[in-house]
Amino acid sequence: MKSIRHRIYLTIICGVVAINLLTIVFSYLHTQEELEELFDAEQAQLARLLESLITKHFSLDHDTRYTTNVPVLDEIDKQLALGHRYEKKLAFQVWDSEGNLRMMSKNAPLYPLTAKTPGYSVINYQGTRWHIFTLYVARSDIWIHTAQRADVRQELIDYLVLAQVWPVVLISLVIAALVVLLVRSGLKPLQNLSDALSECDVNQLDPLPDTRINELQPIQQSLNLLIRQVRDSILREKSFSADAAHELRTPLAAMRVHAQNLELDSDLSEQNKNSLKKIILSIDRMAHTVEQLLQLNKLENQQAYLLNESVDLQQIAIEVIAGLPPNVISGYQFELKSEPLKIVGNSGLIAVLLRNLVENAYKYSPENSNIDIQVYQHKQEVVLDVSDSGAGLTEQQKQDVTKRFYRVTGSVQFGAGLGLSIVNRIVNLHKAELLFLDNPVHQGLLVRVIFIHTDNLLLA
Amino acid sequence: MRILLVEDDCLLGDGIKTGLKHFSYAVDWVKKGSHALQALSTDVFELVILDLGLPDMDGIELMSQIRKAAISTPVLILTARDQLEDKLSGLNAGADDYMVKPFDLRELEARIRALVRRNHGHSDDLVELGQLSLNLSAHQASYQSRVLKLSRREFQLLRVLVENKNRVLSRAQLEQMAYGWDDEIESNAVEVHIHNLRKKMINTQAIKTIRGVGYMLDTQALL
Repeated sequence: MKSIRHRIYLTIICGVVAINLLTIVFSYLHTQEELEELFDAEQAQLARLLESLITKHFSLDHDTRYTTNVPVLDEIDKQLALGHRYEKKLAFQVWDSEGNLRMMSKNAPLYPLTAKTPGYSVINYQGTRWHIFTLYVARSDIWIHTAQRADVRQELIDYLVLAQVWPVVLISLVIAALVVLLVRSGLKPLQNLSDALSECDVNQLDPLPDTRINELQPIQQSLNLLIRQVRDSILREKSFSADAAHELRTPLAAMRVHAQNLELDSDLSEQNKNSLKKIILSIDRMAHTVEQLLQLNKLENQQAYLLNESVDLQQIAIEVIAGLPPNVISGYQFELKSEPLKIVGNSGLIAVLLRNLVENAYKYSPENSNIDIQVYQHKQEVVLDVSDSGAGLTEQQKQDVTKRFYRVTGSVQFGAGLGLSIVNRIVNLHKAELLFLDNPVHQGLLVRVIFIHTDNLLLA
Repeated sequence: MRILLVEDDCLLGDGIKTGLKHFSYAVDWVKKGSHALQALSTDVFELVILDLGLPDMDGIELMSQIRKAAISTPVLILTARDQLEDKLSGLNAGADDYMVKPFDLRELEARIRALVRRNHGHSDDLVELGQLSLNLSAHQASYQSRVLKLSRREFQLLRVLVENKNRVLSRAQLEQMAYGWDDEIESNAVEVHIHNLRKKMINTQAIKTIRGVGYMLDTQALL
């Protein structure tokens, strides 16, 4: 995943570093050149100074040899506060035409700093490189050489150039820090918007807080529009579900009450009583179908289920079995074998799922037969098994049963065939797996739902 | 016994009114929330049956207004709204019971009876279920006109099963409801007491075991 912030950091900081590197290289080259010239000029100046001194004040006899102690000069200069620490790096020799060394500075080498031509030259002598300035004084017939060791000169140059590099490096660091700070504060509104978006959940769709940033307005407006549309459609869906539930349940309730009122009337003939029982049975059947349709409609259209509850499967199994009609409980042999296992999901929906499975199990099983519910852990999964002793299903039927309104051909039990569609939908919402197997113990069907274990979900 | 029915659906309201007449209740029927408030402020009722979807105000709002007006009459909400949030907000607003449509008239009548009895603060001392009868004040039980010699805990257990007839109770629920906080309970106490009850009643069908879940008193087996 690419981050705008990191990209900006990277480009700006790389740019600054590149520019500063170039600056350093250019200033190094340039400074070196300028310093070379400066040193050269200094050598020339020294030579001319020597020339004027020699011609005016000294008559250099053939036997006289002068040595000037530069450090001593340094001392004098220091007293005059005019000296400089680079000064001693310059050396000189004065030769006459006969090849006698007439005058030299103490720091000059003892070998001749000879150069054939006047002017600037570079010589290598015994592994040391010298920059030489040669001045020929025709009047006295002497050669004045002023010299500077190349390595010393280079060291001076390097020292001076490096002194320039440090501020550049320091400034680069300051710029980098500023870039990080400014980019971070500049991207703050974007960060806020993204935080607000991540906090947005289906059950609380509020418009995003205003960032008050021009550039973000179009994004924000589109997002808010989208959020409003989603919220409206969820609300519409909810109110449709509520309206449909009300409009369907109220007439059913009225029909049922009136039918029961008739039943309470003692003047009815046996035949009428029989008809009335069938009316009530039909109403109940329809009410059941309506409930399932409402449930399925809600499951398919409204995604706003909280699926992050911790669901205790054992507890739900106990509640579902205990909530069955008393005549069903006494009419079948229910058995729950379970461990206290938890999954992540919606406990209400899991209860609906199990109730539907149990209802199917007893509806298609002979009276007084065994209906077993098992909850157990298998490796990384939590398994819910509901097995009955009914007729079971053929392979083809096993594939068809989750289709809406599908009913096993020739089944005598009432039901609209919606139960397993609901089960299937809830299984999908929980990313679980639904299997139809043959009951290995008794003849019959075993419906297995496989959930991911909570612990693994937390690890994942 | 006078009951106030608040229901805007004419067909259903009429049906409930007629139905409850069979059980000798006098039903006053109003179709609007405002009329209900007016009736409650002038007359005394034993119970209110309240629909939540009313034309002039929401039933939950009416419920709160009833309680705000310091009217403590028991209220049973009878509605098509089956969502948990609706049930909670209804009960939190002060309702005493909640039923979802469609419903069974006999269940409605039973709940009305229970609410009214609870409101009067007394329950019958003598409970009869088929051939089983319990005298709650004398702590005595008899089956098929034969007095059962029960220990205190066996009687408590039977009483809880009778009070929750045809309902499955888990072992934990039975322990909690039948024995006091101070009682030291053996881990298999419930099983032992149930076994004794069955033996003393000479009826193994009445108390049904649902393995892995709990027990249920089956009234069909007591007839």
